[in-house]
Amino acid sequence: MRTMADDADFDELFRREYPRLRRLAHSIVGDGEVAREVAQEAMTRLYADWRRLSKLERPGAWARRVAIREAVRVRERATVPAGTAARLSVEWVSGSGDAGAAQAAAAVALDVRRALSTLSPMQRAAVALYYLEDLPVEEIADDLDCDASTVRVHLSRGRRNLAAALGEELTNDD
Amino acid sequence: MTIDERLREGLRLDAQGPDGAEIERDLLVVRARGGRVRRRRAGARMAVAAVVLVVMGLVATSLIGQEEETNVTTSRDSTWKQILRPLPRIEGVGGFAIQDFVQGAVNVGARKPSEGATDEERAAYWDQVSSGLPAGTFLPLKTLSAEQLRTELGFEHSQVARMVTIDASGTGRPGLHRLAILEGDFDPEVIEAAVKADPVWSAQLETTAHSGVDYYAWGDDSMVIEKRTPVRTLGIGGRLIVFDRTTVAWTTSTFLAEAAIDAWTGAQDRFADDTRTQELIDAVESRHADWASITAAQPGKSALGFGVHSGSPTELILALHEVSPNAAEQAASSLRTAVEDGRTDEVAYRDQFAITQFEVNGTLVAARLTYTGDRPLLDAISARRVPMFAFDSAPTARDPGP
Repeated sequence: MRTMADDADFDELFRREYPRLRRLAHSIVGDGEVAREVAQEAMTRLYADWRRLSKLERPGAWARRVAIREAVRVRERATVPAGTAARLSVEWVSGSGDAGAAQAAAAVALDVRRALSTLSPMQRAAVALYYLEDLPVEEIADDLDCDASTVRVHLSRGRRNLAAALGEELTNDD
Repeated sequence: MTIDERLREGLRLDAQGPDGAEIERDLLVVRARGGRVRRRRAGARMAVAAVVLVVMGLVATSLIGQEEETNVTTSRDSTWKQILRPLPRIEGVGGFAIQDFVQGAVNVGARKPSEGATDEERAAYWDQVSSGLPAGTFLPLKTLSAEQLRTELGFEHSQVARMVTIDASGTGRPGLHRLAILEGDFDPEVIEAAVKADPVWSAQLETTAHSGVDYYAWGDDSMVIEKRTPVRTLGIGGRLIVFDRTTVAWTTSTFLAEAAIDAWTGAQDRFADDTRTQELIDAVESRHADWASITAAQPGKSALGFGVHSGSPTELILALHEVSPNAAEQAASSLRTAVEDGRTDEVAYRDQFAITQFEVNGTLVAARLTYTGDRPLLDAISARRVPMFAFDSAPTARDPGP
């Protein structure tokens, strides 16, 4: 039987990890509502089996792996045109804050969003984990269920594609 | 700014996370969904045990069919899938209404009472999540106390997650034909004990069966027994079907009891079997409506899904399935004109409504509008001379109320 203490522990983890999952999923799928579904699905699976999974060293990392797999799967099957996702993103960003700052933020976000849409789902996931979550390559490999050299390839190609999409040239220093 | 800095900044700005209130709402959703997963697993374990017993020749096989996965068509992982499984498609009935109390709690930010909560605390929660529920004479959840429900039916409000209703009265059969399907967390043993101990109705109680599914019946079909009690305000004994621990049905007639059982077992067509109807359901559910009225799609006719997302502000959700892409574009244009511009001699709806999401996809038009008026939402829509939306010729969904 689930106890109040079990639920309190889950609630604490949820409040800590869920916003990160949402951001991560959003970077991969490119849509706020879909990201919400992905993050909720991962957390639902965690909660449904909380008595067992709470004994893991890092149950939050387990949920993150579930969310990444689901987000990559959704992205691979996505039919939403990239332009639609970008438009939604701009509306979201510009919905808060003063108009000038929001427009500037929207422009930056839109550039990156458009660039991200040129990457494969696995490249998006690797880039998001590296740049958004600041995870080391070894941990990204664990999350993506591949080895570290594969992650480096994803990051290298992803970064090169992003630079091209953003109209920048990579130098040796980059 | 280096490419790495630009990427970090862009990702951070683009992938904004939820705010505190949204996190709390989503936590409620996750806990509700996770609880359902656990119950389904428990049900599946019971089914496996039943299979073993059948192999051993010890029990009947009828238990197994109740655990089979429904073949209702869904284009996504729908929370409403379970409750629509026993909802039969009845000739002459235009559609159905759904009240989702779990989604209502999420939408208004209500927190479900703990197991040790008092009746008063549970009643306060129920008041919050059922704000859109009309008072009625058929299973009047709005006005019943927890004790009254427990006495006559063996469960109470806090166990009910969502409810779907249809009214088949006046479709060529004499008598009152109303059906409510309830999804939640029910204990069949507690229900059995309650109906057998009911001081007023237990004398009329019979257990009968249809297609291998037992159900409780009180008196002849639609017979008024002249005993008016809190649940049976019309004095009709009714029929109660306990499909499993998550789904029960309450109806005034044998016809609908048997139709619901047949829908549950797959022997009868269901509203949700139809692809266009399912797309309307998906369009409304995926926009987190806590109340919805869905018109059953018919060949060559347009159909409407109409939902309400309670909260501040309240949101109106519209989904219209047209007969052709051209008709969908025209309907979308009419809706936009009515809301944003008005007609030449009319007042636009924009004083109280604002379109926040709009989508035309083939024959499907879906829109989300915020409502900031003081009157009840349905009054605000129906009181204008220019209708906000119109659709072609399909019968209006009959919502009997609870």
